[in-house]
Amino acid sequence: MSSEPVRAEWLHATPLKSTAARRFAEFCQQNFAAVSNQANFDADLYQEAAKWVIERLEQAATTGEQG
Amino acid sequence: MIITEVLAENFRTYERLHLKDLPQLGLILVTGGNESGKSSIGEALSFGLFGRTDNLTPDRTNKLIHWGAEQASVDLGFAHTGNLYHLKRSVDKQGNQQATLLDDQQQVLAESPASVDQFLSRLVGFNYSTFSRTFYWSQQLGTEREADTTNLHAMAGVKAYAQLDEVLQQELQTSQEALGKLEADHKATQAAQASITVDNQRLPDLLEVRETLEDRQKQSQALVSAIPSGGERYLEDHSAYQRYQKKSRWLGRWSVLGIIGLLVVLAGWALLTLMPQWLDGVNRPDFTREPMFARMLLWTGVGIAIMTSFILFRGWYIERYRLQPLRQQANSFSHSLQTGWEQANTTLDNMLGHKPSTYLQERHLMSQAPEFGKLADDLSLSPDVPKQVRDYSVLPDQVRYTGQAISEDLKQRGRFIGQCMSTLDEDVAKERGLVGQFIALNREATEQTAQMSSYQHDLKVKAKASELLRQSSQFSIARFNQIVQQRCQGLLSDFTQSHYNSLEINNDFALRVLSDEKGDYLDFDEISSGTQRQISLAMRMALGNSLIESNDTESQFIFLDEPFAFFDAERTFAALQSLQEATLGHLKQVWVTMQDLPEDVYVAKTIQCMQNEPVLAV
Repeated sequence: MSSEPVRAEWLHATPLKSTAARRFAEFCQQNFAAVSNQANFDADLYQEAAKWVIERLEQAATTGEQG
Repeated sequence: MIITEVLAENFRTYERLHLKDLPQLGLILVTGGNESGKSSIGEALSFGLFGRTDNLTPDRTNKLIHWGAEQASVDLGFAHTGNLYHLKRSVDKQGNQQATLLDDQQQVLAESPASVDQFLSRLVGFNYSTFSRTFYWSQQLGTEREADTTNLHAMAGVKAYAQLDEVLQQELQTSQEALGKLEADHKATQAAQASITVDNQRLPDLLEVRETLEDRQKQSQALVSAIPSGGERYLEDHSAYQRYQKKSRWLGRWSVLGIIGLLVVLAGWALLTLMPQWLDGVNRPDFTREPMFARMLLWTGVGIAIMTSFILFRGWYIERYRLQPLRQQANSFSHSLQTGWEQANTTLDNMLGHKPSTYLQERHLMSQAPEFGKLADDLSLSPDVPKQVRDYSVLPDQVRYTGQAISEDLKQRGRFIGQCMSTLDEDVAKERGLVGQFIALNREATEQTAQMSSYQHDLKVKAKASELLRQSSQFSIARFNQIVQQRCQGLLSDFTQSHYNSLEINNDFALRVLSDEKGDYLDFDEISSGTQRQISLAMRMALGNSLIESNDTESQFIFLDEPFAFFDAERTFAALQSLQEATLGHLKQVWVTMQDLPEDVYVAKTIQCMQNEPVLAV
């Protein structure tokens, strides 16, 4: 396994509208780089979980604005 | 930012709203009953500054236009860091906004909604999101259940996280329960599967046995149908055959005689005509010497030839069109009889084969089988009858008797096979049901496994999502708790009459307040809603002060719409006193809306709103 920190490119795939989602994405960017070299790290699970949170935060922001 | 003047036209309930000479320091009380337009003043500030309100996003602000008007406009005068600004904003019925920001010299600083937003954000150091979280307390927020917790979460920057975490925990629990139920169902399915023993070869074997039995039964039925009718036909044909046979023999004999006669006549004619010298010296009647005699012989020969030809043709005709069909008929009947005889005298094992016999034994049906081979033991029946039938050499009565015996035997066998097939059909249906049940359980188990796998994956993802969400929240929570520790204790103590000194959010997003009396933290939900509101107000003031300080700004207004909705008079008075004292900090201009004007509280300005009054100018 490489010791180089891995960038989570997928975090920048789409521009985020809500502050909460952006803040979470920033956290993930830093956190991913820190934990991606750990043994038994499951990058797919991390990505899926992070995307789930971001999607829900974006949804909540949109719903909040509309309501 | 301190509001110095508000001029609104055709905005909400107001045709014209003009608030001037607003004090830069102290409490501005906006009073009036329900629907008197108090909240519209707060909305005018929010719309004027940021082009939206708490309820309406920029694209829906045309709903702010006063009934019957074409557009709404708000002109705000405000002071910031020693300078005066003028912000004009309007919206038409189509929702198109216009905005212009001017300085005190009437120089245009920005003249579109986007550029105004950008300029304003740079100027004051916050945008609408921060404004609504810190400097604008909407009435809706004040009446919502759990609004204070939500409000404090928003102040800490973890409102969205806390709300999502709550949803996430619920979804995790729901998924966990669903998985538990699914696992129980899967175990039940597996137990049901284990209780069913399916022999893969059993159903094909049963179907093969059924096919054999059906085949044998059809054969028997065909024979049972063919033999009696064949017997009747034999009875009719037997005499005809005998008659034709006799006629054929008679014609055969006559045709032989005709041929012989023809040969004799032709030989005589040839001798007399062609080789008369051979007859020299032979004593013969005189008329044979006549040429006429030779010619008569010739004509006689022709006559015999014609007669013989006719007889031969007639014989051929009888053979071909009478006897041959009868023989074919007899052969077919003979074959049926022969087959029936053989079947009747064949043992069940030999007739059905191994698998059907084994099945019949297994189902104890063999014992019910009719006696086989009894025809062979019947001395009145000859095994040669079927063969003799071919040439009609056996009497019809004997044939009929044999045929009836065979038919009866075959019928008995057919009935027995029918019974066996009924039992077999039940077994096939049972086996099919069993196989169907097994397949259905297999399918169910497969689907359950797939669903469990999906749920397990979903749980794994959500657990990881929860972990990431909480890790991410911890930074904001730690920062908020630090600010509270450093900056909010005094205000908290003031607003709660020294009952509570500190507040913190833990990593589960739970709010806790430090009670001086109990010397311990209490859950925010445990304290009364009035105290919750006091704490929330104190926190808003404290964080607002903190934000202003961090922006290097000296003063800021704050608008609190009905913050004391559920306070009693004593608590309202105390809260107003605390707000009054708080104006000594950075939040110098505090707007408060409330129904009635309290007594004994010093206010810098009072604005009285009246119901059904479209113009307000103070």
